[in-house]
Amino acid sequence: MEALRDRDEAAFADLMRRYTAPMTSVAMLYVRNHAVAEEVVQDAWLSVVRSVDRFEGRSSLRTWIFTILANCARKRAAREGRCVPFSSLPGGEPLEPSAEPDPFTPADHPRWSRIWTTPNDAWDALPEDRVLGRECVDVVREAIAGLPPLLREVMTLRDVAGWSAREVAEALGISDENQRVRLHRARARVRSELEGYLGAPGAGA
Amino acid sequence: MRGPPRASCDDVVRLLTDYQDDALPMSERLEFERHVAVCPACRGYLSQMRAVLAAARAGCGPGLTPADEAALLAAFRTPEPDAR
Repeated sequence: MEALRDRDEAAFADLMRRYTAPMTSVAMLYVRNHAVAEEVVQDAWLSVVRSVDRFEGRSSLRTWIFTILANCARKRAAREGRCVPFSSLPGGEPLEPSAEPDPFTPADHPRWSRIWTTPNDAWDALPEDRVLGRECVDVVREAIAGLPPLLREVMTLRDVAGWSAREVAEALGISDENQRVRLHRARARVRSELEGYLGAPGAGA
Repeated sequence: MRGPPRASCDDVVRLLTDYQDDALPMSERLEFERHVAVCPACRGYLSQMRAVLAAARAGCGPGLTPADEAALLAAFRTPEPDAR
């Protein structure tokens, strides 16, 4: 932080390299268009540059940068007439019950209670370029983008931007428990979408 | 020491996120691990979830273009106080 105030360019370049990608993902929570998200991120960096002398160190540098980003993104989204999900929802909002089909044996099964009815393919047996290939990454990105906002923001911050559970709960003003419930549902949905994709015969590479 | 005597597959799925976030009490954590150790279907599920997380991370937006980075660095060098 001192380095930034002293206008240490290497420190700033390092910061930009580390945070730009996750910032773009977060900006996408507000504006749906990728090009616009990139502009928002640039605005945010400019604002960081201009206000770095006013940073008081009461929050972490990262939280401070992402707060600036959120403000830039909100302004931009408002200008474009988009409703903003992020942080504008009361934290205690109920989640709709998840409607996944039950993949387990019934609880009253005489011998095998609540176990998988079909085996799960081990995806780490798949070649890495398959799972981390363009297509899977796109399927996952689309699946996350298609989540309801309450789930989408948590999964974006946790799993795309790499925030900790604590940071996400704080940023969204929700309890740790609520954060985990949302993350859990979000991941489960995204997994089943990817399963649908990988399971489809002849899909992918 | 509390907790179910034996975790079933649906317990593993239900508790997975808490497990990954280290939010399970020790007894449940042990049950979870004991179950996974002997259950190939759950290990499959866990591997799927690892793949999802790896793909999510890889799907993080692109970084800055060199031109944008240079422009921001220039702004950093000579900050114009909140004009514009």
